[in-house]
Amino acid sequence: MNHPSELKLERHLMTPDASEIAAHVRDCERCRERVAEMRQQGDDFRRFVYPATLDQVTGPRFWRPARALWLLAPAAGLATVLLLVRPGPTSDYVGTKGGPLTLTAYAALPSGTQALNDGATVPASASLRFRVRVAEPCNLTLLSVDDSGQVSKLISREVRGDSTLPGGVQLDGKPGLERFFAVCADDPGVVERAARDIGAEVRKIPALPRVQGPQASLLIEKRP
Amino acid sequence: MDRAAIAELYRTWGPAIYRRCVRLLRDTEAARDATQEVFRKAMSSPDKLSNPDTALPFIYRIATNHCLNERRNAGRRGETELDDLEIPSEHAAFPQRRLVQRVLARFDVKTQSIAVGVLVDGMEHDEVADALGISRKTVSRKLARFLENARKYLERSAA
Repeated sequence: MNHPSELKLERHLMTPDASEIAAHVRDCERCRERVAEMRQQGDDFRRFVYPATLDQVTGPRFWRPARALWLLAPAAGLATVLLLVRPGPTSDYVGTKGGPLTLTAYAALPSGTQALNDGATVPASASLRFRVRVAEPCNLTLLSVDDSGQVSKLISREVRGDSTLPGGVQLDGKPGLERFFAVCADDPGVVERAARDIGAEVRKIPALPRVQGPQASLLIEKRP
Repeated sequence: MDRAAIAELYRTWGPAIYRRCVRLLRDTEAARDATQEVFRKAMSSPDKLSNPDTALPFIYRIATNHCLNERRNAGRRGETELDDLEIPSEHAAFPQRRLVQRVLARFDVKTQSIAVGVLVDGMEHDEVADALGISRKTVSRKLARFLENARKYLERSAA
């Protein structure tokens, strides 16, 4: 059986109404699966890649440091930040100030940029940006787990001191809970596996189990 | 072109670029970086991106060349080996995947693009020719040479 090429599948995705291969895709399990995978990748692009890379591809950086600080200033006065910081999986809650890692999330809301407290409610399609502060340079992994257990890896990069992470995240539009974990760990794979173990228990589990190194988390509730 | 127009083009064509990069690089982090680079390159001819008839083959060509170069450069830098390209099962007669990788790496990017188009993406020769902006004759000639070398390489490996 001859299957449509990747390029034809792309055309099918772009203009489904004018697709020459719609009948084939409808009747072919393999092509349906591939199209579903491509749709998922498109969603991943819109949700993670687009917001994280838009500044880079549109020339001069929109989030220049001075501008970013200006945007963050009102938020800084608003309230305290969010976080649960734990040096390791077996210790109890430690707190934020002066800890080895703090995570702050800012939501772009109609009322302006706002820092989010743990448990904050935000629009389900809100755009978020993140800021971390680390006591020591580390390889930071930022990921999220939603209440269906879906893990989304957002950023993995070396960070130093106090820094706003490049790009941002656009939430997926699905109402429910989502917890963001920031973890200093040499192996992002360990962090991701630990996140998968949480499953849907994002409300109850503020720290990833069996992960060595500083970590922080923030729970948000996405509303329609 | 102002920022909003560029952002709109990126939103429209970015998913196709990203999919192409994920498929060839088999790594979402690398694909994210590559997507930016490919889009920047594509913006050197914004008229092609603005025309729906030309945009997709144009993106395909740039993304394929860029990602195959990335694979090649990663190998030269001694970085972690990228996962194998996905060779569909209908090409079962073709040498095993690992060998395909080794043989691919011995060819120029244009030949690699042709081989990937036909063997990985399942494209007809005409379609590859259109997408890469070359003649069908060139596609056939370079693919035949590639396959011949792949067979020789396989025979030598077996021996």
